[in-house]
Amino acid sequence: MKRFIAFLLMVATAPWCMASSENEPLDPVYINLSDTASLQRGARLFINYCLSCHSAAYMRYRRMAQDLDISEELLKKNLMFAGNKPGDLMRTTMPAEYAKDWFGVVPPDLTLIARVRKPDWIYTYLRNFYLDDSSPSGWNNNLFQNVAMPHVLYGLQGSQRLVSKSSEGDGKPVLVVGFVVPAEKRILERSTLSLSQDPIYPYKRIRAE
Amino acid sequence: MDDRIDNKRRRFLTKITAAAWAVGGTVAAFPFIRSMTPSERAKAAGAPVVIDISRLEPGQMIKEEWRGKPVWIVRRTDDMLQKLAGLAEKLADPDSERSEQPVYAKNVHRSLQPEVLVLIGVCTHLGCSPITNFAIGPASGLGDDWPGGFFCPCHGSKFDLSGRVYKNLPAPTNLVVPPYKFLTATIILVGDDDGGAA
Amino acid sequence: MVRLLNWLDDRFPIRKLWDEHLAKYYAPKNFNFWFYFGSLAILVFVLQISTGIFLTMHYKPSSEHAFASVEYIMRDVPWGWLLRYMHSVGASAFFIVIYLHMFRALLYGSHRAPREFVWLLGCIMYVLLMAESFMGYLLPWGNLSYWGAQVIISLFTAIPWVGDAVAEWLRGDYVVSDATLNRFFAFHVALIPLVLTGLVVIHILALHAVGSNNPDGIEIKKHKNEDGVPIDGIPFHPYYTVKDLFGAVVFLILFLGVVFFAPELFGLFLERANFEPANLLKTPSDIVPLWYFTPFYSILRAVTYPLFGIDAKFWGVIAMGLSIVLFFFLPWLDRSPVKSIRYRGWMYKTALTLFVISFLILGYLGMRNPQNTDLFLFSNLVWAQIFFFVYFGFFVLMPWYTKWDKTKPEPDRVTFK
Repeated sequence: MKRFIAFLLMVATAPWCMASSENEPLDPVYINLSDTASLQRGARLFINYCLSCHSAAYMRYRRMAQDLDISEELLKKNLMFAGNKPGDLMRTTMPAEYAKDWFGVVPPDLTLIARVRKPDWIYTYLRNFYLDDSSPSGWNNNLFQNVAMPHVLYGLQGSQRLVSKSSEGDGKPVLVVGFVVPAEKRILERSTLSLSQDPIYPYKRIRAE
Repeated sequence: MDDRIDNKRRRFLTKITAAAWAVGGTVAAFPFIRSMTPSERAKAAGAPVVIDISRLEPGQMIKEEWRGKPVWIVRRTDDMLQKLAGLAEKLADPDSERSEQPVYAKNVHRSLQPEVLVLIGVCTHLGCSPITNFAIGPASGLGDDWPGGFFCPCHGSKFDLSGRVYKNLPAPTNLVVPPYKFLTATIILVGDDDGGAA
Repeated sequence: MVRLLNWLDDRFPIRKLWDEHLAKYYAPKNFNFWFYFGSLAILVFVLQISTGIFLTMHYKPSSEHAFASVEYIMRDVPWGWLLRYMHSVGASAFFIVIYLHMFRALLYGSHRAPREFVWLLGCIMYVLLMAESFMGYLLPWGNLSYWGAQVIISLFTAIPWVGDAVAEWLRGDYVVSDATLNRFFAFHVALIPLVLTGLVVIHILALHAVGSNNPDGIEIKKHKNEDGVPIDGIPFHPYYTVKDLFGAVVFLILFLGVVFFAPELFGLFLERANFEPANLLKTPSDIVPLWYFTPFYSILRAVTYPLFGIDAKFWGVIAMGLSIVLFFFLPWLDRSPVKSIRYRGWMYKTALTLFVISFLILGYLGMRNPQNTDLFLFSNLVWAQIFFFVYFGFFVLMPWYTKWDKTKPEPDRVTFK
């Protein structure tokens, strides 16, 4: 997960992203920007999981490869699909009007997401999806209530459900999330992913692990 | 030739020239100033929008865009509608006397159909777009008696679920209801109401 | 070289200008730290103009392409990121330098007779600088840019009768839109810089006509030698050109430190919400102006009571306008017989200290939610209202406390401390 965030950070070219005071309790994450291997794995995860719906439209494949020390050959072989050229911007193949129809919102561009939110937020957000039958996608998020996005990294994390929703101290609801599937039994087979609401989930794109 | 200087004539000519320039300058400024007012393109951009609300669940809201402004459509639950009547005491303009809305929306629920609320999501204070806070009571963070509504993040104005503003807050009037009509039971046209006939 | 100069001098008074403004412009010999900021303001102005010109080569002033073109500058244009960061950090640096420059005037009475006109020109430039930065802030078309412009232009709707028409005229549309962005671009890159450049020249000409003030607040022109040169003056060039070049080096070290290592300066110089493109359906949850406007924004928000049957909104705008306009009147509000803080009594010293504190605290409160309690005891709103009175008290009570203040005798000649 951390390398994934690391890549987002690189995309944002914001190594000096500093924390400012906010109220949400976020899980802290430390990104080692000199760990190139980790950043490369993050790029692969980002391209496999995120780029099908989201874009990173201010970033070029070639620039990413240069920054992350990935050869152009490897870039073309493993990280580029849909007939892109290395000089192309990292755009999603999903047309915005379809996305709007499926999710209710157009998935935002992620180039600058680590600067808009902050790395801690992204790290917390991605780890806080839980099963929720009342939501259209079958998923909800503890940090971002009623988010339209399903738990895309389900195959890597496993699923969680909401354990309790108690009201503490200041009267704000506190959500506790627990694992349903133990971490060691995380499902890695893509075919078992049951994201029925997500019609172009990128199974075929995954060359992972 | 007479080389006497006629000062009177000289001053008169100076004054008349200055006056001509002043008038000319003012006239010349007009097109420059006028060029900054909304263009024909800006005026024409207000075409009505069609919004499909068939998938809008009770208690939920969708946002669309009309004339560059956010338009909100909320399908209110019965519970939400019942709470509206009891709020008059706390509101600045409960009967929408000073507020802007089509005649058919000048009622307690400020809408054609009681449950479907159509609003322009722009605060009447300084034009921010308020955020929704449909949670009730302490969970909302807006006080124990908060019945659900909208809250402006800029200067703290609060609105109920009919877009009516609460008392003693910066926003002077209720949120604006745009002209709209139902094309079918689940399709709304915002921006045109056949002159209020609905 | 000399022949070329002679040729030029016969056709243009180059030597005369050089002497008048540099080699034979006699400035007091006791300038201290506070006298750096005038030349630094010129330096930042030149930096902003030059980075700005190069940014316009790549920037597109349209609501569709503006945000993407800024990111294009940041990633695709070689060294574009440096130009952009220098320009965005430069905007904040400009205000830091200008605020310190103005504070120097209040310390040593540089705004008082015979330099009132210099001060007035400075105040006009300050207002123009605020307009310049406000309009420049819309150009990246980020979400905070958009909603900031929306709120500030909506302030004009507070004017009775014609408010809505004025706001529409400023926007060129019914909401902040492409038309607004385009005209802000025109004002930001052409009109205001042009006017500012002219005013800078007049500001310096006016200063050189009356001569520079100094930390003692006395006139060095009272004591001249037989050549008509002030005894306490030294030629601006080379003495102060070298001093100012040194100051510029120190400034640039700090400036580039921020540019390279913290261009956002923890969200103060570039805000998080502005890395999202303008979204007219979503106002950022913590919408505040940039730090250099927050004292005035606090004053705007501190007014919550309607008066004479007119909304609080109108009076808030009036108070905010007044808080800036009052600066223009300072030379005439001050009745003290001495100019420099060195010879003033405790009253002015206290008043100035309170004023600076209120300016800083109002600035801090302007960035915070008025309902919160970030200081102690009272909510932010109440504190803003308390310091609202301190701020205005500094100006309104000035004719009295400066008159009653017990001053020390001024020296005849300049001193070194």
